[in-house]
Amino acid sequence: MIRRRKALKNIGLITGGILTLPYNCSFEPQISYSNFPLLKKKEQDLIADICDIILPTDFNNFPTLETREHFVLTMINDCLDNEKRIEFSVGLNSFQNEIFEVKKNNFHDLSLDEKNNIVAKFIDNEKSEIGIFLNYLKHYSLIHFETSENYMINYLNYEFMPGRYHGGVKVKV
Amino acid sequence: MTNTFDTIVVGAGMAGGWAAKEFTEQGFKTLLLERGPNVKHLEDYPTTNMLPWEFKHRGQLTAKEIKENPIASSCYAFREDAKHFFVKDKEHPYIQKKPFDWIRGYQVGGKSIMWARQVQRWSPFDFEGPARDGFAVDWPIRYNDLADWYTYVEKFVGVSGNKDGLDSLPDGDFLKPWDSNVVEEYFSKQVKKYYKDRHVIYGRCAHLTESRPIFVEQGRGLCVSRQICQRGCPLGGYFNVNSTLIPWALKTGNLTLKSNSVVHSILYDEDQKKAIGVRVIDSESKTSQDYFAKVVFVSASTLNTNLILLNSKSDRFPEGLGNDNGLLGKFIAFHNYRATINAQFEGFPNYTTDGAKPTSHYVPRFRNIYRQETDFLRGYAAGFGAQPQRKTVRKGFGAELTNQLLNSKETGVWNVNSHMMGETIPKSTNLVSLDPEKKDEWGIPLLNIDVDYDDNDEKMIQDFYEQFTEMYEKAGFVNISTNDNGRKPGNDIHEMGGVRMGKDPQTSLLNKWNQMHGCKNVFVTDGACMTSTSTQNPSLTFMALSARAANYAIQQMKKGLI
Repeated sequence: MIRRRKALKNIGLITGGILTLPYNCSFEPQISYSNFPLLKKKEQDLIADICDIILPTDFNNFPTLETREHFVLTMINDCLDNEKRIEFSVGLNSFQNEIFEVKKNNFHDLSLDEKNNIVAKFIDNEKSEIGIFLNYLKHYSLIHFETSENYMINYLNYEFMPGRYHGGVKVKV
Repeated sequence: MTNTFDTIVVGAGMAGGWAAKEFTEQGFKTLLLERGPNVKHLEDYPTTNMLPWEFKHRGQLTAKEIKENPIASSCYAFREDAKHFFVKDKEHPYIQKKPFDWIRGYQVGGKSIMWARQVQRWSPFDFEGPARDGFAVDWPIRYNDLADWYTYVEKFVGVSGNKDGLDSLPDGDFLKPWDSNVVEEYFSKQVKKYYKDRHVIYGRCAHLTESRPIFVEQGRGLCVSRQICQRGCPLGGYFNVNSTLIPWALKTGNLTLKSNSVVHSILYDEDQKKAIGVRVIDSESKTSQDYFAKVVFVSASTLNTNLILLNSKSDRFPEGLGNDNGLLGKFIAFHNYRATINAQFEGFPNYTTDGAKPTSHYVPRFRNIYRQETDFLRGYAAGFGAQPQRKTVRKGFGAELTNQLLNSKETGVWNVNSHMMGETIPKSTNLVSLDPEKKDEWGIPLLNIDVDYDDNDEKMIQDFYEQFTEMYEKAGFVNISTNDNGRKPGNDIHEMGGVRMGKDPQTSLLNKWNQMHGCKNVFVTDGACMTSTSTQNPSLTFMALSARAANYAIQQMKKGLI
């Protein structure tokens, strides 16, 4: 939790995200996204939880400058056009309704198996409202992970200044 | 600041940069005008050392940026890391009579900061083309007139290449090439085996692969193949104007560089019967100022050069400077980049590459070189790239997804691809003109652009598909697919013409020295001067023409003839 709070603080400093204190709530900082002014902290937390189910975060081995949910929400906020942002919002609402109606509980409080089952139920149905929503989260979670420093350098052989090119390197088949 | 100079150069891109270098080196007080801001080498490359994970959007544009910039965002290099070097659509509108993506870089250095750095010479066949094939007008020069100037420019710029010995693509003064990969070499051999007049060679590129005293003097280091040249290179590993020509000219003490200066028009004196200077509007304050010189070089980029000349009206030239024949703005042409082909090759499963290089391979034009052999005029060059294919499975979610990502690997298959670079035929119906009513924020008429493809281009695309499919099949490539990417004219960023060179003042605007037939102390040395387009990336030719014209102008000035 300490790491999470620290990360949130850093996000404000690093990315210029706007940290606001909601009018009448706890002292947990909240990030505002310009195209989602009504997105509450509990919804941001929900998105963090879902992203973590879709592609588990591993800050120790794959550290990033920003948290997964902040990156995902930044991309959704900035890079989706209005029509797609509406799809995202509709899917988020449908997902919340589904959880509440079926499980009578918050997603966060479900068991890991229950969380996995819900995501599994919808993620392959890419035409459903919830499926579209989950696949936006998956798409940007993948970008976040695949552009992490450790992954790029140690799994994709990325080098900033290679300074060489060998065109015929033999490898084991 | 004085407002009188020996020479004025309009536009601080590649062509203007070369003119400024030549004039200042030889002692001429020169004013170099640039409509955009200054970009100082090292100081003004804000993203140059950013790592991929440091970009807020990992390189992507925002939806707002795409919506507001349908033209600029159509360019492959208009991305999060280099978007600040491109003109935004709202900043300087123009009128598309037909769809045309005008990709621009308004700053000192122009588009040389973000260019693709391919530098192939023209051949004798290219300069002889219009006369042989009966289109446009005959070039007033031949390859031999420009050969030494190509060498002159290459020695300063630094060009990595192989001596290939091809008459269709003459060799130059080359630095050593980067390594070719096994599939590039294989395809080259296969093409040689099946076709006597087709070649797959190393794409000559403006990158330093060896040090020479001239590059040390410029303060440039070797290219380390970062592959992010469009951001500006802190090492000066590739050629741009900012790291070479501008500091070189400034060092002479003879250059006055004035940015944020929009040239409104060239001033013509009816009594002296020559140009006397230029009218400049400060891009920010909108105030006007006149500057004077003996000689004016116009190198403001192809279409802006047309715009300035069309807007330079006088009693002598009511339709634009030098426009006695009414051809100014006409015969605009470009390169047809619409056709691509992709495939896979399974012939080298036990090979991969290590490192990176800033170029790929190149297929010089092979159609209609020695004789007319098709039902379309001219031909096309093409790129050829081959990369080991990496497979990353992204199915499902959770631990399954993580495991797939952690097991991303090369498959042993190679992806191969080519893109066509087709010569288009200049026509009087492809033209630009001044809008009679609409003006920009500096009070200059907007440019109407009326340029399109024609049947010759469509036939060429089909031929590219057929010929490259055959070449790919003979090489054993599989899963071949062709594609028309629908790129609009202009998106190639190789627009040329409108102020063409020629022998006859009745049918051209410039003589063999890039000098206006009708106004001898005005020279045009950017893409606007081009009589035809050939297939090669044109920047090297613009630079050679500009250096040649500047040295001619210097001789004439010394003799007191202009």
